[in-house]
Amino acid sequence: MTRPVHLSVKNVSLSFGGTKALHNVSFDVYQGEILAIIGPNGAGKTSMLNCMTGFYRPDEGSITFDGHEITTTPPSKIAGLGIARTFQNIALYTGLSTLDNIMAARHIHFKYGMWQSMLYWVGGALKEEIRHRQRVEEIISFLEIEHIRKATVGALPHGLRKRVELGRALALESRVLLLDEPMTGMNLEEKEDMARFVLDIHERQNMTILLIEHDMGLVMDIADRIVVLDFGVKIAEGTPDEIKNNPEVIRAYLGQEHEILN
Amino acid sequence: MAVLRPSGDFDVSYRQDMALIRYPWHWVLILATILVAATAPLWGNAYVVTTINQIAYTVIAVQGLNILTGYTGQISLGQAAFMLVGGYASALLATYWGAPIWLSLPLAALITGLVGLIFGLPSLRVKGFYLAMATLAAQFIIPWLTRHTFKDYLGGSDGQISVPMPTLGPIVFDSAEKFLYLSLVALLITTVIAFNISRTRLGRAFVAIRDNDLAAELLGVNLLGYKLRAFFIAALFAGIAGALRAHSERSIGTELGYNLNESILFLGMLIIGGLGTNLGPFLGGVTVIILDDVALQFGQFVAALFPAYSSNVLTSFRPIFFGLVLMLFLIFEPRGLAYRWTLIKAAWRLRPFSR
Amino acid sequence: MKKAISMLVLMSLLLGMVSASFAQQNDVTCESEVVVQVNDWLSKIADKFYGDPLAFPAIAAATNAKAAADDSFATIENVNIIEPGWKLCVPGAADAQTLLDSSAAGVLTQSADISCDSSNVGKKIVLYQQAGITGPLAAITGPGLINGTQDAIKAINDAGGICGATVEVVFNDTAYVAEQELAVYEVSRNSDPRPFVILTYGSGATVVLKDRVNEDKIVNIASGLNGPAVYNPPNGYTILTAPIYSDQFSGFIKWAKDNWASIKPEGAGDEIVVGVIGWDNAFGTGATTDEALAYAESIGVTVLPLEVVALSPTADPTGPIQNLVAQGANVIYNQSLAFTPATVIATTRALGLWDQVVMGGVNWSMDNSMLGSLGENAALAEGYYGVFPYLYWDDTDQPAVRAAQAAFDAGGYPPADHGVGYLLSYASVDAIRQAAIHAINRDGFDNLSGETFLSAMEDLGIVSAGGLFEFNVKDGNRAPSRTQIRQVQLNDAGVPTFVAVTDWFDLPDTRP
Ligand SMILES: Nc1ncnc2c1ncn2[C@@H]1O[C@H](COP(=O)(O)OP(=O)(O)OP(=O)(O)O)[C@@H](O)[C@H]1O
Ligand SMILES: [Mg+2]
Repeated sequence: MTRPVHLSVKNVSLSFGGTKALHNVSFDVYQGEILAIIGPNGAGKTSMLNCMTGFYRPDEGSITFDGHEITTTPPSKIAGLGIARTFQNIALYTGLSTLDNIMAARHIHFKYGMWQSMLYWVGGALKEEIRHRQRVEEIISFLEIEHIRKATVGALPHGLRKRVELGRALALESRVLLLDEPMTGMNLEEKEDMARFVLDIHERQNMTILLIEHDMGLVMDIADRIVVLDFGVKIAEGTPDEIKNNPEVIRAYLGQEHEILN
Repeated sequence: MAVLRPSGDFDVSYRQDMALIRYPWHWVLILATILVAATAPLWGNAYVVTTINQIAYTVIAVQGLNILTGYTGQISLGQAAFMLVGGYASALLATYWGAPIWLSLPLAALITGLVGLIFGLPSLRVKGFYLAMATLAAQFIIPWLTRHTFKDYLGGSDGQISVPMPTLGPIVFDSAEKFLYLSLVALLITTVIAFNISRTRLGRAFVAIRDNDLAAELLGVNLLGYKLRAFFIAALFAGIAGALRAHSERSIGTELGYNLNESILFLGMLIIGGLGTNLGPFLGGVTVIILDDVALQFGQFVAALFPAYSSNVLTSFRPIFFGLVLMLFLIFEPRGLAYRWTLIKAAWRLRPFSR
Repeated sequence: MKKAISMLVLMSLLLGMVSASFAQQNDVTCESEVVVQVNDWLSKIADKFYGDPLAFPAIAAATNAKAAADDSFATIENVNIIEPGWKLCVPGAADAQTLLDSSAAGVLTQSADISCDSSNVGKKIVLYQQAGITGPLAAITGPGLINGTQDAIKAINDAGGICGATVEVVFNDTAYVAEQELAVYEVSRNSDPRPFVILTYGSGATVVLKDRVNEDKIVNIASGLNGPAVYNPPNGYTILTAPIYSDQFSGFIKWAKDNWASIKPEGAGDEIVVGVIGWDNAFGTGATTDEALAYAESIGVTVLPLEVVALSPTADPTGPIQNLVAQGANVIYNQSLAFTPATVIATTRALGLWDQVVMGGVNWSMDNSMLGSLGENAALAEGYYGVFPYLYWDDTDQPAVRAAQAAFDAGGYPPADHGVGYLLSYASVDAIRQAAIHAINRDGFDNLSGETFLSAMEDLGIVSAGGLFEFNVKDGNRAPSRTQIRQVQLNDAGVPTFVAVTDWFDLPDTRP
C-alpha cells in the first residue's frame, strides 16, 4: 500500500470490569479506502469506534489521526478534526425534522453565535443559514430524501432514519466516515440503496470510510480491506478474498460458514 | 402527514421557506391576537387588563423555561427564583440610579442571566431528577439571600421592597392600562427571540442535547457550553418577566410569592401548552391563568347550589378543580395543547381529504 | 382559684398607670365600702357592683383616693394583689364611669352614636372587600370575614343604612396571592363611583396596595399588620385593624418583664430570654424588627435569633423548640397562626418543656383557629398567653358582641367560623359607618371619598369598632397601640376561653 495512513490504531486495549472488549488491537486505515470491521456480536467493533471518537478511553495503546494523537480527545472535538460517525442504534434528534437534523450537523461550520441567533436578521445569522441550507439541500437530494425534508424524524421508518443519519454525518464534511452497521434492519432494496450511497460518497469525494457491517455479502462487495475482530482480538486483516479463505475467520464464524462463503 | 402543506404550494427561495409567517392567515391570526390584547383597555374591564398583563409576563417566564426544559431538556425548578433576581435588579437600578425602564429591564435580564449561569453549572454533571434537585437549590438559596443579606437594599425580614413606577422619557407607566403595552412589547420581543432561537444553530444545538447528547457532542456541540447558554437564556427571560412583574406590582420580594409553587406551576403551564414548541408557553400560560379564574367562578356557582356546604365548597373547590383539570390534561393531552393545534391545522389543510 | 390568682397577679402591669392617674382624685364618694374576703379580687367585686369586671380600675382609683385622706382604706399598689381584710371604696356607677373615662388605660372607646345631618335614602354606599376564601390560608381565615361583614351591613341597613343610604359590599376572592390582590384591586378602583374604602386581609395586600391606595386616595382597612408598609411613607391610606407586629411583640415582652416574678416558670432565673418561632414570611419575621429588638435590649430582655417553621400544618417545630430551650429561652413567642402555634403547644408539651417556658404569641395566634387545630386536645393550650387588642365572644357585656353573636347564630355558621375573623369584620363595619357619617355630615354625601373619609377618621382620632376594638388614626397613627394580654384558661365546663389577665395598656412604639 502506498496510500498515506489516515487513522492508525496501535495496541489498543479496553476492558469493562472483567470483560476485555478490546485486546491489543492494531490496524491502519488508509486514505480513500473502504475498510470494513467485521466480527461476531460482542466482538468489540462498536467499542473500537467509541475509542476512536473519544467516548471510551483505551486502557492502553494509542489512536492517531493524520499523525495527531486523538486517544484522549473528547467527543466534542472529534468533529472539528474531520471525523464523522453514525451509530448502531440510530442517534438522531428525534424531535427535529430531517432538514434540521442535517442542519444541526453543520454546527461546527457556523460562525455566528448566541446573540446573532436571537437577532437573526441582523448580525448575519440569516445569511449563514441560507448558505448552509444550500449545502444541506444538496445532501438531501443526493440521499433522495426530499420528500421527508420537513418530517419529524422520530416518526420516520427505520430505513429512512438510517439514511438521514448518514446525511447528518455527511453534513459535517469530514474526511473520515465511521459507519456502525448502516444497513442492519433494512430490506434488500434499502440495503442496495445504502450501499450505492456509500460507494458514491467514496468515489465522488474520495472519502475514507470505516464500515462495520454484519452482511458479509455486502461487505465483500464494497470493502477494499477487512479487519476481523473476535472477542476483542484482531484475528485477521486483508482483502475480501484473503479474509474469505482465512481459516481463523472461518473458525470464528463456525456455524455461520455459509454466510461468509456466499 | 409528513408534509403539512397544501399541495401546489412551493417556496421559491430558502429565505421564504425559512420565514416564520408564511401564509396570509398566519398574519391574520397574529395581528388579531395582538389587536385583541392591545385593545383590552377598550373592551375589557380593569380585571381583564391586569390579567392580560399577568399573562404577558408569565408567558415570558414560561418561554424561558421552554428554552431550557422544552428545547434543551434540562428540567428546572428555579424559574420563579430567577424572576425574583430580575425584579430586584430592575428595582434597584431604577431606585438608586434612576435608570429608565429601557435600561433597567435589559440590564436586569442580563444580571439574571448571569445568576442563571451559576445555577446551570451542575447540569454538566447531573441530569433529570438530580438536576431538578440542583435547580431547586436556586429556589431556596435566592429567596433566602434576598431575606437575609443586604437587608437595607433587599428588604430583609419585610420580604419586599418598593419598586418605582417605570418611566420612559415623559411617559410614566402608572396604570395597568399603560403598563399593559410595556408587557406586550416585551412579550413581542421575547417571542421573536424565542422563534429565532428555535430556528437557528442555537435552537438546533439545544434540541440535539435534549434528544441525544452523545450524538450532539460528536457533532461538535459543546455540551456544557450549550447547556449553560440555555440556562442563561432561561434566566434572561425570567429576569425580564420578573422585572415586569415587580414594576407592575410596584414591589418585589418573597412576600409576593416567587416560591417553589410558582416554579412548579410554570412547568405545569409548559407541559399543558406543549414542551419544546413556541406556541406552548402561550397556550399553557393563557389556559392555566384563565382556568384558575374559571375555577373560582365555578366554585362560587357550585357553592351557591349547596348553601349548607358553601364555606367548604368555597375553600376547597378551587384547588381541587384546578388540580383535577391539570391531571386530566396530563392524561388526555400529554403532548400539550400545541400538538392538538398542529393536528387541527393538519386536518384543516388537508380538507376536504381529511376524513 | 388558680384562674383568679393568675388573673390578678398578671394585672400588675396596670399598677403604675392606674395609681398614677387616679391618685389626685379626692372628691370621690363611696357608695359602698367593702372588706376584702378570701378569694376576692378586684374585677369580681367590680362585676358584682357594676355588672362589668372591667370596671375594676374605678374601685382601685376610688380606694386609693380615699386612702390619701383616710388610712382605714387600703392603698392598692398593685391591682392584682389585694389582701383579705382590706377596706375598699366602691363608688357609685356614675362616679365609676367618670373615673374610667378619665383613665388613659381604661376600657375601649365606645361607638359614638353620631346622628346624620342629611338623609340620602335611595343612594348607595359600596364597600369593597378582598380576601382569600380559596387557597392555602382559606382554611384559617375562612368565610368568617365575609359573613361578618355581610351580617354587619345587613344590620346597618335594617337600621336605616348610613344616613339613609343603603350599604353594599362587593367581595372578591384573591386566594391571598399578591397578583390576584392586585388584579382585584384594579377592578375595585375603577368602579364608578370610585370606592372610598376597601377591606383587605393579607400582608401581601397591605404591601402591594400601599402605594396604590395612597395615589388613588382609597382607604385600605387592612388586617395584614405590616408595619413598614403602613408607615413608609407616613400618613398613608392604609389603616390597620390591630397593632403592628413589632409593637405587639415589644408589648408582650414588656408585660413579661413587668410581671416576671409572677409568671416566670418554676426554677427560671431573673433574666428573660425570649425565643420567637415564626413563619418564613413577612408575617413570621414581622415581630422581630430592628426597632423591636432595640426595645428589648433597652429593657434588658434577651431575644434569641428567630426560629423559622414552614407555613404548613405538617411542619415539625421540634427542632426550633429544642434549639430555643437549649439556648436558655424561658419565653416562647409565636409569630404564626392556627396550626403552627397549635403544633408548637402540643410539641412543647410532648417534649416535657411546657413548664420551663412562658408560651404566648401574636394576636392572630390566639384564636379559635388555633384551638380548632388542636381539635379534641384544645385543652392543651391552657396557659397560653396572647396579645389581645380587641374584645372577644365571651365579652357579652359589650352590646356589639351580643349583636355579633345573634347575627352569627342567625346565620347558622359552623363553630369553626366562631373566631376573630367574623367578629373583627363585624366590628370594622361599625367603624366605617361612624367615620362615613362624620364625613357625610362634614362634607356632604356627594363628596364622600377616600380623602374625606380619611380626614373624617383623622378628625375622630380614635374610631371605635363597635366597642370591640378601636382604630387609631390620631397624630399620624395608622394602627391601634393598645392591647390586653389574654390567657387560655379552661372554664367550669373545661372549655378553653380567652381570659384577660391585664387591662388595656399602651404598647411601646416600634414604628419603623
Ligand atoms: N459501556 C460498556 N460497559 C460494559 N461493557 C461494555 C460496554 N460497551 C461494550 N461492552 C462490552 O464490550 C464487548 C464488546 O461490545 P461491542 O458493543 O463493542 O460489540 P460489537 O462488536 O459492536 O457487537 P454488535 O455486533 O452486537 O454490535 C461486549 O461484551 C459488551 O458487552
Ligand atoms: Mg456494535
